[in-house]
Amino acid sequence: MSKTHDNNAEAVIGIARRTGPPFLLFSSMLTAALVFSQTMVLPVLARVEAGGQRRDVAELHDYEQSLHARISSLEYKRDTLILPIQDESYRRLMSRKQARLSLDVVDAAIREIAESFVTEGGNVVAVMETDVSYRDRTITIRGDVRNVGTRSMTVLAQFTEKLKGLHFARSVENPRYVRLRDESVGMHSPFVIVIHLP
Amino acid sequence: MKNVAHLHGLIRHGSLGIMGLLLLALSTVLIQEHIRVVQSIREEAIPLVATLPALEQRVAVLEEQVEMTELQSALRVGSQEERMRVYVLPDEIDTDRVVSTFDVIGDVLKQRGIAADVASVSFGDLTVAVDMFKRNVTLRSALSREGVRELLTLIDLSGTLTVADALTDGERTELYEYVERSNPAGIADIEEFLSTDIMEYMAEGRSYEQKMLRSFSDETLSNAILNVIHSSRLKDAKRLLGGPMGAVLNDQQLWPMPLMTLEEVRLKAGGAPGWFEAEVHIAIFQRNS
Repeated sequence: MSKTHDNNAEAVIGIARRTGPPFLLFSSMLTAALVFSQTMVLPVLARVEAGGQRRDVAELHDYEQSLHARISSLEYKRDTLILPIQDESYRRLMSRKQARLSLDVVDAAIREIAESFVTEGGNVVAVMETDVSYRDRTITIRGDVRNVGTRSMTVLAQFTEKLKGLHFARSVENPRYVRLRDESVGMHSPFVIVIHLP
Repeated sequence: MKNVAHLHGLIRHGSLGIMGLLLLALSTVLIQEHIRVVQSIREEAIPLVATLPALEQRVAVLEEQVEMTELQSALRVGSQEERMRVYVLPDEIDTDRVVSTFDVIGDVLKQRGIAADVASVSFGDLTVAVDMFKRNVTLRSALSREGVRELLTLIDLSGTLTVADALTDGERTELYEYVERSNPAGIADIEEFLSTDIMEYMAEGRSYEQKMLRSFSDETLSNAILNVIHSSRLKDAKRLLGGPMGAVLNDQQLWPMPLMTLEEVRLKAGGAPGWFEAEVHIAIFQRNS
């Protein structure tokens, strides 16, 4: 047993003695070639010509960012110089005016929804007062649902729901739902609905 | 004893192999780095290089345009700035002028049958507004739906002095994009057009438009530019300021109007269908002088 063990050990040592030097030679040559490529060849090949200079990937990204920044700056300068009146306060107020929601758009949209509720008895949703406050960014609608008998609160709920779909409405406060009886009008539901603008 | 000798032998002859293995491991790392660099060239550098010439071209065009606008700006006589400081954003609000303006507007709308007499014009206190002072004005009148629209359009047009002021930032940007695409040097003609006094444009709009378009031979592009102009607030301006309203305001020397912003509008259904008791709250401004 001991002799077999000695023979195996000597065989392994023999293999190691014969293969060690060539293996080390191969590994060191391969590593040297790769280090040479990494330090001398790749940096040259990985650069491309842009804006009169050779740049690597990181430098290309920086160059692209600098071009975008230059474009924004030039656009701003051109847009400012081209205007005949460059007074800052004037430009700010005029821009603010242009951004305001048009009352025409508001009125038309609300009327379209109100007029979609019609019966044989006539218009169902009567909008009696519209208050658009650009200061508070709200639209307050005061009106009455009538000519639908005991369904007036249901119709009011449907009207409110449709107002929530308006493109300029950030949110719509639910009105107080009441049903009253009037000698001339019959059952009706007066309402106050507040629409909040963005 | 023999085992120790075997171990020494193994270590002495195996160390070369171990060093070889370590160098092989380092080579693997270097090969991975090579792959990463090649991938970044393929996935980042090549697409970037494809987009850069267009950006460089845009910079060149914009630099040329800025140079031209700087020159035009230096040559421009500043009369509109002066009118703006005297009438539109003055050092002190001229309340008489404001009342007269609404009186005249009310008269013209009444003649058209879309408004009753102006019931009242009331002024609030002066308050601070960023870098200026503002005063609230409340106007009460009975108006038809069309009367409301015309009054609010006029308030919207107040403070407008030139064609540029009647266009939104987005509309002006659209014009610049058309110019860049076809003839960057045409920016000078666009600038001249934008500087046109709004009342002069009302009187001879077509000739100013033709003069602006002389730099653009492409008919499709010219039509696109005209489309931007004709679908802007200039359309409303033409309807109102190009007609009796503009003529009266001019004759009474009430144009340009002070700059007004709409703060609140209350419309209460009036006696007749389609008519309203209107309460309009506006703000007018004076400089922080």
